[in-house]
Amino acid sequence: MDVLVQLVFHTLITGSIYALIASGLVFIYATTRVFHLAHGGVIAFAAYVFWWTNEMGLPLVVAGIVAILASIILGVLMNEFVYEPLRARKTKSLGYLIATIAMLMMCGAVIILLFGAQGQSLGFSTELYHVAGATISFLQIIIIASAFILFLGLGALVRFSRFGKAMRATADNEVVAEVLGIDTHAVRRLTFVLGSALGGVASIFYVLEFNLDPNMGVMIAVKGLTAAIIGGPGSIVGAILGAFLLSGVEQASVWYLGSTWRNAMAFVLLFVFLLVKPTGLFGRGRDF
Amino acid sequence: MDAYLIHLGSLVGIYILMSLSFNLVVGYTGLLNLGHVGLMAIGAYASAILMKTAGLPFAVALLGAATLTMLVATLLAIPARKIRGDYYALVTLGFMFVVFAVLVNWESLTRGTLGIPGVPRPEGFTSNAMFLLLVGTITAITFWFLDRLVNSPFGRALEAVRDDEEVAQALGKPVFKLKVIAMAVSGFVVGMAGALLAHFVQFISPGMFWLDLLIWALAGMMIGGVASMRGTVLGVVVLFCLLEPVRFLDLPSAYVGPLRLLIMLALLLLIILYKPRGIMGRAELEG
Repeated sequence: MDVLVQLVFHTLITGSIYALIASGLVFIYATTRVFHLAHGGVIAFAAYVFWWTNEMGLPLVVAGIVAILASIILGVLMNEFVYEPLRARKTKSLGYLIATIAMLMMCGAVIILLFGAQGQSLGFSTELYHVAGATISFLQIIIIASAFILFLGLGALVRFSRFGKAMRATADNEVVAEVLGIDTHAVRRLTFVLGSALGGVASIFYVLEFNLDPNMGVMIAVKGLTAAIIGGPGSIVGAILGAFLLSGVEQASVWYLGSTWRNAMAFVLLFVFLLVKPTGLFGRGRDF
Repeated sequence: MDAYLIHLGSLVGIYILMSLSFNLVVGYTGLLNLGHVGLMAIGAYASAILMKTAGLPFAVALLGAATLTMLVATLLAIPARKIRGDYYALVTLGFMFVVFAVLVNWESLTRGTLGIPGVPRPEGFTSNAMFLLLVGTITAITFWFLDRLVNSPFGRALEAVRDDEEVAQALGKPVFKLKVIAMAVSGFVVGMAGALLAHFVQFISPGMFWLDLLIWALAGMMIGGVASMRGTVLGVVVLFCLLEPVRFLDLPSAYVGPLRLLIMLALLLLIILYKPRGIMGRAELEG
């Protein structure tokens, strides 16, 4: 019983972080139709910025703000200098995919050149609580709670705000949106600001909860993509549920198969869902 | 210096094989097979295990590995029946990840992350110079064959599939069959490339067949030119000429790899942004 409760706790903690990663990814995909895999690289970079700022002796709150800013700047730069020019050229989706993989890999190389090739960790700990025979820390409760608050805020933004309407209009039909007087470029830019800010928050929690390594951006991208595909790309709720499902399968695999299988789970789920159910569990489908 | 160039020569040949077979599927047929490196890993591991563990002669191991890779590539072509464009790219990327996961976790066969050391070189080809002769011969024959293939009616049918699948279908081209054949041929060649890499470096590990190598294939093809076999050879050679000097810079060794990767990625990005056909390309990526 204790094991089961502990598995549920771990699923919720890791799932919250995955869901933050995936919701940023899907948020960007929904508006721009770009699988922004470099989002993983942005998060990895922001994570290193967070760690480094804290190492420089600044308080965690300041480091967190700096990390979110770094994440936003990097995400917006990628959109303005890569995706928008590709869009202007009317590049096919394969071009975007190669560009985003290239930028994802670039982040890893830049992290090594700036911060060194060795892994890092912050060594941050908070008070532990014992609930139903399992353990959870104060930090982990904060992570789960803030993730859920952010999801509610994101949902409200998409559904009720003027920007949300403009965003959905841009996603539905760019040309019509332009005709209606929506500045679609500005909408995409703001989408990257918000999506990357979510990534920045994810990067902070990631550093506080896990260890850093320069190549972690690829795994972050794979997990975000897997959650998004499970949920059905384009559906933010789906991505969040997909993230928790992925996290649950990972935790179960660590318990029953051993920790080397953990990353394999994301790979296998990604491959199987793409093959068998590419519209995901909650997707409305798309043209192939 | 000569020894270094002879050593480099074999690698150039192997990377040309990898990029030629990549271009056949991606450039000519329009299937962005991001699982190419996963296929290469299968060729490498199969040949290494057949020769080192099973004790088979080199020629049998090489051809066996290439044939096995061809079969897997044929299977990987099946999703292309329904799934197109960037979704097929993601499926095949997923395939690469799955191959990686299998190599890491099937420890009794692959020794997991430790990799397989001491992969033997074939008898008579143990020196780098003789191995270069072997790789050079195989690369030359493959280039000749693929260049003829893509300039034949078959090659033009592949390009018709790439340019417009519906039109090709309407003209009575067996679209799916063409995709399968292109993947099979590409798989055989990249399986051979993987096998040669294993026997040349004499060590393989799952990490060798990761995104870095995929970037090599992509950059080699994109720089040289989409749908150009000559361009691919040129692209790989240009990449080596640009990247090898980095080794001789006065840098800490930990920075050499990332810097080489960064140069290659920047080039790839610039090509996609400003010259999507590459130096000698005849088409842009479709899908």
